[in-house]
Amino acid sequence: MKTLNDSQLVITTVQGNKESFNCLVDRYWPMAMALCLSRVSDVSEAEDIAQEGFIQAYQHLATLKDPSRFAGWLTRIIQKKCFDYYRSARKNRTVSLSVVSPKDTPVFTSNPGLTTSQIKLIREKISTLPEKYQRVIIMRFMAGLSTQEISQQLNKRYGTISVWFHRAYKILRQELTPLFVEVQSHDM
Amino acid sequence: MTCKAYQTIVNHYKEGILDQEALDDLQQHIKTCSACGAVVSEFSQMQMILEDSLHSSNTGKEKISQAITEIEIHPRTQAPFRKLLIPLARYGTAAAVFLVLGLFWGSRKAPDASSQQQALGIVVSKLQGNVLVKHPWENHWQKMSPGESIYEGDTFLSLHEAALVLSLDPNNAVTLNENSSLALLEYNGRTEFEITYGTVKATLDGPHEPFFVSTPQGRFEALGTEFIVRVR
Repeated sequence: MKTLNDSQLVITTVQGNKESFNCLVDRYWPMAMALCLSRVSDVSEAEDIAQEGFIQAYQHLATLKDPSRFAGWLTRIIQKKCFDYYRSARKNRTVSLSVVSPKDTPVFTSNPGLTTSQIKLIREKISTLPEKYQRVIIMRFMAGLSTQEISQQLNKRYGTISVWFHRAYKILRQELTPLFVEVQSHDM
Repeated sequence: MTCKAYQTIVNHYKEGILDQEALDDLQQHIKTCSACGAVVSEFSQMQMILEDSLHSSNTGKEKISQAITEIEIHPRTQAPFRKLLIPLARYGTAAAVFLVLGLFWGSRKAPDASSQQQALGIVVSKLQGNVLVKHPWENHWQKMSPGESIYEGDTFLSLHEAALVLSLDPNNAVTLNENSSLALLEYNGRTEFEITYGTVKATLDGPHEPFFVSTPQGRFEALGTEFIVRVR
């Protein structure tokens, strides 16, 4: 099942094979969570949004005209969910109580060198990118899609996606230069 | 900054579009070129940093697996609005056409004791986004709601990404596309549609009774059962 491409998984899901959809979830959960974490600071809220996004995608899977474009379609659903979350949060004007981590405590990740504040900084910098740049960066780095694949997913010309990617990368590189230095000095 | 010779190749590497041969070549190159080596190394670091900061546990996935066992995929249904929002160039455009759609069903009126005017036997079968209506006895626009009564003299205004389908009867419908305006006017004792601007699609059961189109240049009969008219 895991060797099937997106198109095949979408089609078999619509035909009634729910396990196919679980494969799609496995494949794109990191991308979906990355999109949410770049907009929503609370991890559990981000998980809720990602889950709702996948469930909505499942319910409306039959309306996806080109099954090979599942990933691009999913990113639009997730980004809209994040936008709806913000609108709802502003309307309700609630203040969420979050657990305050000890300052600059290393967080357990595959790179133990990243601290909580570094992770927060990175997510903030991504959230300040224009939405189209965010989508391309996250699809490239978290879903491992090439710019050619992203252009096909988003139904945009390759040249456009290439430009967006390099611009987004340049912005992030500039914004995160101090952090690169910090991480490198920590590794030494 | 990469060396000039490998600038494009390094960019393609970052984009993930190098084939294996080019990748092997780049790997060899960066062993001797510190400039390209630094760029590639920086890219790897960016990848690692982003993956780590946007990494999440997989526990949330399990809830999805559970949820989909209890819900069904919605069946594929035709989306009239999406079809309508596809570029209409293939249907042609009628520049500055003042169009009146004549329909001979007009005598069908349903009594409505709550209104001074009689509601027409037209049903709002679909409503998408913000569509406004102005009744002839009012000076203001109000947002339409599903199930709303339709009166002679009503003017409809659809906003961006909005659409309205008016069912004249089970077999005849008029669809107002986004950014368009349509009015129901009395003409020679019958109720007719008038497009002020925008795009309207008429779907008629064939063969149908005489169906007239009026323009500043004249009035002619439309014989088709489905057509779209766009007024600039």
